[in-house]
Amino acid sequence: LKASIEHWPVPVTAPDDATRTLPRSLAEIYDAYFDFVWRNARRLGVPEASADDVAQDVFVIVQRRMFTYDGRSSLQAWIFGILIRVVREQRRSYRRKHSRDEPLEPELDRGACVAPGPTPVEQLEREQRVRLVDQLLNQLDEDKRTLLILSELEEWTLREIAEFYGSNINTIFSRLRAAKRDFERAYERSQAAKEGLP
Amino acid sequence: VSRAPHEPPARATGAEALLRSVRSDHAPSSADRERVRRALTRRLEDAPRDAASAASTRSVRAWLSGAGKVGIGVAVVAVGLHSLLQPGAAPAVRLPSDQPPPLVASQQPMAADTHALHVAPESTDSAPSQDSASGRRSARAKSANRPARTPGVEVAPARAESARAPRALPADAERSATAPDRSRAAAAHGDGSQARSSAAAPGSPRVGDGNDRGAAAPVSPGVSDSAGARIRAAAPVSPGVGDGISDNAQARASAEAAVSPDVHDSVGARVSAAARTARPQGAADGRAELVLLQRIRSALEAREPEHVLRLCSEHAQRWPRGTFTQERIALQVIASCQLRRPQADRSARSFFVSYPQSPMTARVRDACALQLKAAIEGR
Repeated sequence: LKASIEHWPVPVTAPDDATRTLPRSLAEIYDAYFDFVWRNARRLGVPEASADDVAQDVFVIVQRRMFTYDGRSSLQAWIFGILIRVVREQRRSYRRKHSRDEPLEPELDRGACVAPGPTPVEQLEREQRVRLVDQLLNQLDEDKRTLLILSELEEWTLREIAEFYGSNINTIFSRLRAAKRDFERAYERSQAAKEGLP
Repeated sequence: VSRAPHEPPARATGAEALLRSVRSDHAPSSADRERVRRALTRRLEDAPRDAASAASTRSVRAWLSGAGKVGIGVAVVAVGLHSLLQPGAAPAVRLPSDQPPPLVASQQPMAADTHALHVAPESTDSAPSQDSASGRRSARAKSANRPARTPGVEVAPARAESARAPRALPADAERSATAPDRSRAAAAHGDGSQARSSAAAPGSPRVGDGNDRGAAAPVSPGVSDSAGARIRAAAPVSPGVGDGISDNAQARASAEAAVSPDVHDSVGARVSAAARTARPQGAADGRAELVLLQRIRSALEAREPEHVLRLCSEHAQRWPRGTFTQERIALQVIASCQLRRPQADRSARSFFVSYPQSPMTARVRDACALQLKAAIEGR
């Protein structure tokens, strides 16, 4: 079973300098980018029960479409583009099956996605933080959410984000500022609600 | 490389601190990694196998279709040779130039030409041109009683079956007229479905003679659209002669051929004329139904549920399969719930089952909330 994934040839039509550093098998890509795909799928709102399917879909598409990768953007950005489309499709099919008001993920099993902390108190605090961030990100639209994930959580540079979107840095900067502003407002609202303020 | 514009630490807000604190979270466990890896490997291994089996199925199918075409060609050649070598025997498929049917050729030459390639001539000449339905029935019954001396039935058994069909008229015809495809077509055009079904019965496509097309349309009283008439008109010239119309779409597709300029003789002209005259009547009928529905709505808004129920029963009598049946049933259920009728909850539930996607579902649920809750608690 393992052999089939490791002996997979990458049919790349990219320039030589780009292909030189590329992984030569799907297994290499999987090892290098599985964590990235998984955590960002979860940050983009994919329920844990569907994260397996989303990750599989992403790597199947990577295997099929690798020959279209031209090396102009980083491989990570290329995979993230695939991930966004897969998540979008997954969300669309979820909305078809469920009510629009229903959240994408039920408020269950949140603790399972959190790395265990040293003490139960720390673990609880971390769970609460993760839950709060997910709630706040849920209030943003997809574009702002993606920008915040790339910039603040994945720590991509502005240039990398601009390359990913095919846009210039100034535009990305202003969009990112708007996203941060919306996130802060959502955070302030949540704090006010927690303190019982109107 | 310019980094993302982080705020200086002194101005870092709580929101940014929160975001930074969860950077390392959402990481998958090693169990996640291995599970997805195994599943992905299985999926990638299955994919070529599926593709190979699909390719082999395609090749077998292509081979079979090729063999089938060759077989049909051989059969056609054999039949042709057989008819040539035996000059005494009547040909199974007769071209229009080859002994045209005497009765129909004089009255409906174009229709006979249209049918000649598909229909055995015995069926075409079996129905004389008469306007009354009873006349057609007796003529068809007569033709049905003599299938044994029909030369074409050896190579066209379906035609023999279709010739036997009129024996069961009128009861069987009524049943065939209410077949699902036909009743759907009738129900789509508002009222008069019963009348049109019975009128369409003589024009059942299983019979397949030219006169039915013209005769069926003028006697249909409530045709609101020409589609119903066109379906009946299409039946005799549909390629699947003998097995009737199995599909509405097929009927509609061949309907275009039926009203093509080639068939612009009495049959096509009568059908389209009947449809033209029937359309305004159907439109007026649709308006009347809408007016009644608006009255029902205003009665409900005026909190007169008794009146709503009366108007709904009037609607049900006049338009049992009307355009706004779903709305009428919803308003009826709401009024029943407002009146606290004993069976209101069952009506509501059956409405949800019958029309699960209805836009009225929320209104019915709100109006019948008490009854539904009581029914659940009682159970």
